[in-house]
Amino acid sequence: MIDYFVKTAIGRSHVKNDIVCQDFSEVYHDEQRTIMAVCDGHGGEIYVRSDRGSKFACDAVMNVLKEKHHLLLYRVEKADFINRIKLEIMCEWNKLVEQDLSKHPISIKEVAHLNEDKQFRLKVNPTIAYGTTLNAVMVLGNRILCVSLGDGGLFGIKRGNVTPILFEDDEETVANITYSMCQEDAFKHLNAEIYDLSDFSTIFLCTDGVVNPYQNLDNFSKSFIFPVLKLFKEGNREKIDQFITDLGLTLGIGDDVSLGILSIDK
Amino acid sequence: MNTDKMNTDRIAKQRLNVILIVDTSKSMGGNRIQQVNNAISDIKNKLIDMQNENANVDFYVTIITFSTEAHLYNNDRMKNVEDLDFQPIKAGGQTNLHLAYVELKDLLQKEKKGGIMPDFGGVAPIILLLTDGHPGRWPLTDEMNALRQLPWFNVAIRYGIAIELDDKRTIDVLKDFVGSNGDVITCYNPNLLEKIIKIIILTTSKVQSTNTAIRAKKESVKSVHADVKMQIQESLNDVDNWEW
Repeated sequence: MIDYFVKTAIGRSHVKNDIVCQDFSEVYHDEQRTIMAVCDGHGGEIYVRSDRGSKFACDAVMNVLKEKHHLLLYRVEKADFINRIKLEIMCEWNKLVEQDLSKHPISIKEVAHLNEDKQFRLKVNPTIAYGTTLNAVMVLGNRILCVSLGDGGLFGIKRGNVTPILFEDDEETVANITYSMCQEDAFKHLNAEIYDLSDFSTIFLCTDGVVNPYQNLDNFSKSFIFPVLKLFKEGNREKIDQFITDLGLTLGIGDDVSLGILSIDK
Repeated sequence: MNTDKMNTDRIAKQRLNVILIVDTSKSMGGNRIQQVNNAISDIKNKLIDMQNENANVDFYVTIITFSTEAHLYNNDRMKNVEDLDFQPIKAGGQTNLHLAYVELKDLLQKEKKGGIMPDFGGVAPIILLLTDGHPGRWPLTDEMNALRQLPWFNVAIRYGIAIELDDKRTIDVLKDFVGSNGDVITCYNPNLLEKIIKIIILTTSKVQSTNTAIRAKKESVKSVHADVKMQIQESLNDVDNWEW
């Protein structure tokens, strides 16, 4: 049985600076599969449509993964399948961005606050305006498909151990620098992997607004994941919901926060 | 475990590390080291005020002193600025800058690798190197190459102060250290040293601490470096007009 929770809350620095919430999260569940995505639109001033970018990233995941037959997850040519999934998600996100740009070209008003250099960069490559991370999971049959690009991340739990999933720990991601769907080599940094259902009992999907206040994995596991997991198992979702709201508005680092929990009761 | 405990325990603000690399060789004795000590004492108080006013950032201070040997001040790898027990530094010995670089390299790693930088998130640190003499060993190619391998070094805002020094070799060493992430300031009048140190540390701290939560991505880090450089230059120009 699959159980899940998902919540996005605005951060206090966004409220203070009158910026919309740039995180987005989405879940899809039917008899066959559960798909969950949490995405974090970038906060830098050039990313003037990152709230749409994060929504499109969630939509792209849903559009692509809803169509996948479960037998594909059992294919021998796993690497080919993973590459195809990655490519399809990238193409879908870019298609959604292009459709949006064609309906609503970036206006002078949207970029008026940017310097000439940034305005020029957006003119040359308007996709930058939609920069976002992407973290997603699909449970289908006896398989779990994980997809990740950028910071925040996926954390698998099994027998009391917390394991970061698909972390690109190349030391490049420091000081709020992250990989992005809008960069030219995004495909290279979009990671995906297929796991067995028995590999994890629960998966947490988080944006960096949830993870960063805890600074390291040990603290994050002890002070966030296990207490939240306990509440989740007790059915105490209101408290989790309130905590995520508070983490965004008062307790955390001021950034938007998104949390997804996907529990697999075998 | 109840949620109240979850709410309050071990949720931190973003950590902003301020790292001072101070030449404590014999030539720094007297007025020069006095100016440095005065600056650090005052910076401590100002950063405490900034920390209290800022909901997003806590300031942590690390002081590396170098002369014949390099040491972490009080053996503290980092201290929240409120807990920094600062007593005046004394001068004496040679100018073995390369040993300070080795200390710095150990610090600028993620916590899981034994450094002081957070594993998740964090703010680009501020590093100020000040010296009044030729490095005891030169060139410092190996040490600099090791530092350049560290992402936290590459995003750090880096400033150098050359104290009553105008020789190309030392200036080049400082320029190599700061790269494009900051500037080298030449201080010809040691009586202004305290003021210059404070301008650099407090201006960078202010900019960094107000840009944490809504900033992201590499190009934004570069743009913050440019903002910091411009603001510091404006403040130093004021000093220049009044007192230089």
